[in-house]
Amino acid sequence: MNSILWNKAEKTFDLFHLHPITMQLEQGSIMGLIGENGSGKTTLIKLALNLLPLTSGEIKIFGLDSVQKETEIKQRIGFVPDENIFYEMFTLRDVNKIISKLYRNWQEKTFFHYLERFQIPIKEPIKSFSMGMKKKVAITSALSHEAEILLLDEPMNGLDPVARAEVRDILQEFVETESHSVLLSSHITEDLEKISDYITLIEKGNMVFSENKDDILQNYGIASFSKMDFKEINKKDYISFRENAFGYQVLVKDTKEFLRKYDGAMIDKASLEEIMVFYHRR
Amino acid sequence: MVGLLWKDILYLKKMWKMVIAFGIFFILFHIASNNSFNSIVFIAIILGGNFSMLPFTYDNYSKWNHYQYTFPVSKKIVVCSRYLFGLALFGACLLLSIFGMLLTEIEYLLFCSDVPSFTLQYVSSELLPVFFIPIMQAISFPLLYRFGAEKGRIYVLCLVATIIAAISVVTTGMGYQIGTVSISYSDVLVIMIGMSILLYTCSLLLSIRIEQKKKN
Repeated sequence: MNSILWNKAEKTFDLFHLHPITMQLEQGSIMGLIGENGSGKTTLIKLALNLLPLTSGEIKIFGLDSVQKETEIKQRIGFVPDENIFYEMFTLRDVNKIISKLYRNWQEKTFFHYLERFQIPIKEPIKSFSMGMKKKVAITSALSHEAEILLLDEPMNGLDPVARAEVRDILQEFVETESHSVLLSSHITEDLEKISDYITLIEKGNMVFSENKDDILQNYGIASFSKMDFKEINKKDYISFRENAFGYQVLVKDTKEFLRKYDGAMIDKASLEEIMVFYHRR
Repeated sequence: MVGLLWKDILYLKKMWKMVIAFGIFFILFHIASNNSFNSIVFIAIILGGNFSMLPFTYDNYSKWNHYQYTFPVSKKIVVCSRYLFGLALFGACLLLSIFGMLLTEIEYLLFCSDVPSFTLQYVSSELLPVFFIPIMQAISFPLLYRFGAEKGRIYVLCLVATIIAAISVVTTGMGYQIGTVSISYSDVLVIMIGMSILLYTCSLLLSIRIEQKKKN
């Protein structure tokens, strides 16, 4: 069952166009959004939250229209923005007082439990926090009102490896409940490789793919060729290429198919980062 | 709505040191210049005017004005809560002015022989200036919603200056003078209360419309 369904969701700005996107976030899963800066990842999240009006198409969340049932839906969504949104003079006690009045199911105990787990001081003003601490506060807030969907925009930014591992654990714990799901955008593809069930790649406002992560990592590969051999490769058989000191490397979408055609080619597994970079070079 | 109102009240609470410092400065200034405690009414007006606009600046700075809609609140509720905060601030300033008026009375009782009595005209004249707060809010809020805290503030100043100049020209031209037989303080107070209610309501509706039309 879908938690979120983007149905031909399109957004046009003066200088940017997010082309119609149809994809879905399944219940009980974690979807990672990847793409370069300005590719449309944040726009996609903001459209779901109705922070930006759709130019065309529709978005259904829990089967409800994201515009018509906006407030009802937002009671069930936790959002982590890529920046701090609270007044810097506020302490976390203040934040608790404010948000507890905004959500029907606010869990004060959960809020302070996560703050303790993240070792964040509750009496200090937010302005004294590091970027990582502010991020943790946002994650904590999103986790404390019994949300069923978490939307996280660059949640790993500013976090050290220990904290990132902790956030990964928390997100995985979160989706252990079948009705829960997570959509997170991140430049740190290593994290997404570890926890995502699905990966969506957005490139210059276009959705390149939205597929099962294991399938992606299984099927995509990087084939290496000498300069001579590279000339014999049909352009249709690879996504893009890069030249290095030893010859050429190409990103291949289906390694088995590629090997059938080019028997004996040297192919390595492609990481999400490499896939992202190669698609960008297209 | 309660959460949003809480946010503005908590912000005000954080500002208490500034409020007290501001108050002490004004009281000392007025005592030094041989004025009485009724300067408190002016403190109230300046506090009420400024502190109702400051949350817009903080909202802008922390991008709260954009991200508050990630919470389950509608645009109507967001605007209503800000106007409610404005009203609460006005109420606090009105109480502060009444307190100032009572202090003035005590001051006269202790140090002067000629003690002003609590006539309707006296009370009206003392409380009249406080009603500039809701009028000021009614003028400024839609501009702040429309143009944001920085630009909006400049437009507010320009608009207020224009209104004051226009009123001054019209009243002088018509030969009106407050406190004369032609118009009493109590009459002006009634007009001010009526104007405040009307302007505040129109301003609220206008701000809701502006916010709902915003594309974020």
